[in-house]
Amino acid sequence: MISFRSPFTHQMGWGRTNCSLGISLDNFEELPGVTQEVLSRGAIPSGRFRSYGDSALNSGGVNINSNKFKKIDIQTDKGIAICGSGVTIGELEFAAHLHGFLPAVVPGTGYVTLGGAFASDIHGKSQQSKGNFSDHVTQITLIDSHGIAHEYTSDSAEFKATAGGMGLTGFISELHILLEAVEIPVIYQKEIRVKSLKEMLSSLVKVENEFPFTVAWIDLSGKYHGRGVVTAGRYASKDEVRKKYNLDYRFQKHDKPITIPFLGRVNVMKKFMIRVFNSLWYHKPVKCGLISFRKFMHPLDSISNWNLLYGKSGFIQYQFVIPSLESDFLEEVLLILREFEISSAVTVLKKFGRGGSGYLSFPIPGWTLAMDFPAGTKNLSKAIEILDRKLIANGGRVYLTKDSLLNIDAMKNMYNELEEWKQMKRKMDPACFWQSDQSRRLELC
Amino acid sequence: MLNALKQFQNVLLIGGKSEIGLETLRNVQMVANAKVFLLGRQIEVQDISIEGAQIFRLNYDISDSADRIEVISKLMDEMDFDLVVLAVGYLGNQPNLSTLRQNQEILNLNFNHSAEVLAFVAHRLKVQKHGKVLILSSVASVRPRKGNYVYGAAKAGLDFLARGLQLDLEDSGVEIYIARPGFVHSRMTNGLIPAPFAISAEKAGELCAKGITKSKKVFYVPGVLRFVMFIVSVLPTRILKRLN
Repeated sequence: MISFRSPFTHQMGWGRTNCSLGISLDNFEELPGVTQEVLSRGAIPSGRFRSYGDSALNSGGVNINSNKFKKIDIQTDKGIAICGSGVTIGELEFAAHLHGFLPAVVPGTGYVTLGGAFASDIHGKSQQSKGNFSDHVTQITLIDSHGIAHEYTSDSAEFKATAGGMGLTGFISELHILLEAVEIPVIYQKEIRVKSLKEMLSSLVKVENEFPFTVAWIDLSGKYHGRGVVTAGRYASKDEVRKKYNLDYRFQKHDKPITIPFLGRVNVMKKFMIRVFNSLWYHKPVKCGLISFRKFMHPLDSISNWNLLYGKSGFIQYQFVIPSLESDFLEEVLLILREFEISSAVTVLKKFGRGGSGYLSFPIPGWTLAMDFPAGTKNLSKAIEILDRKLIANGGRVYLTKDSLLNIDAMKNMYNELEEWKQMKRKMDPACFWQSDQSRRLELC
Repeated sequence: MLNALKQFQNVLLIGGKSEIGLETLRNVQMVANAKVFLLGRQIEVQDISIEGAQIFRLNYDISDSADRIEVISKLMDEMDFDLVVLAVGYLGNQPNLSTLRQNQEILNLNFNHSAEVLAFVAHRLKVQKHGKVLILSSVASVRPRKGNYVYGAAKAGLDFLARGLQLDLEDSGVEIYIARPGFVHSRMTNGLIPAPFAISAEKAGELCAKGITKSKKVFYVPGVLRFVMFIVSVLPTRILKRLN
């Protein structure tokens, strides 16, 4: 039957600022059916399109989706999980916790795929104590542009190029993930309300000995005092849990997140609303007590379409890391944003303990700050240009998974192992088949 | 590629010496160190700068049949272009039946060659599924005037083709914008008596950039000419002749 529908579909990053027309395929067998013209635009592996910018988009080209790679095999004797790349973090958590295990590194959302998590070399609330996602992966299976599978262990250069390599070295089909044994998937959480940035940094450092999971939320609206809430957590012991939870506590198989209706056209997060929201969040009662692992790790997952709050024009997420444990740079950032009267709805501060193993891994020891700006914010490009310049001068860098604004020169100055990565890219993919809108923007191939 | 703030990264100006074209590029939003390629005859000797952008000048003669597509094709193989401005224009002298050869040149430059280039660019952008094209048409294309009907005929042809491409490229990710400037003070109109609503090239560029930002499919420069040209196009010939 003749289909009059165009095979191209609109694809968007989670921030909804970048939109591309691409062809989505479910596996490699469908590749020969694509015209030469489309193949000349290359392909990019994609998962759930949860990266904020254009790293999973390929305008005019192919997206090879990992949704069919759903194998989960938990080997309890070795404490590893052999998973397909299309399995999401949430699915892995569910499967693992039934056997008394959990992944050591989980991000702020459970909806990302493992392939994407590895290609972004994600970090979580446990970064300072447990490192990045790729530190807990022992082996990957990578499919090259000819459809041939290769296995790489964590000591190989190909593994290092793929961890944080934004999917530009090949299609990850399988990963061996080290799990950690957990008594019960419940967290003892402690929240501390702080009045200034200095207080926030010192309490983050103070709590990290006792609590492996730490994060802080800052109020970046109104007068920018740097006030906020520090959240720390550790696995609860069975004795603590006995009072509140059954000892055989299990996650629900299908969490039902709230979907807010009528969103997507108008930006709800105006400056006033951001201020109200931030003020409420700051003044909410601080909790100390038990909380489910999922609720603690993935707070934003309770609303399935929160990215639509920013309306049609979307939002820009800007996350940087600065290799210093002093507060000077962060205070300067706050000052710059306050001068330009830019507000951020959700701002998260965290301490990184060690660097990533990949050539393009984002983490380096220091402070990292993630901010959300509505795309229509006035003076945003000017402010970000200044921030980029200051970051480069201080040896900092921007997170590629969240980036949608970086330029080529800034990228070269931020990632000092870029040349090594490019060499590996040329070796692993000489025809430059794997490309994305981001790789074109930053000339990564 | 466009970034999240829709700033251009790679820009191509065909007719690199065009004052309106250059002023447009000075007014559109570009990323820091954006690459701007200027194609034009003996453009290497020109001193052109655009703040915050890297300029690449390439000698290009649109009347050279071997080079016409080749140069652009090579450039487009290397990178994705976000904005292509087609600003080739040749006014020539007042039409005269005895100077048929010159009339042919006006038609060739403004229509035949430009149309070939436009069709090629549109096809390449369609493959990459993104990109914007700005075509500098002219108000002369709306209704013939005794003074410039050959130029008007050529621009009308290009204008028509561009509007056809707009239909063809709908939902392909490629956007085509048509600017119809009135009398603009520039090298091309040097020595001519200014028509009503004449503006400077700087102002024209600013308005063209605004048209691109606002995604206007067909716009007049300045905007007031939309109403003027509407009246001109519906006036009976008898009255129009008298106004001339």
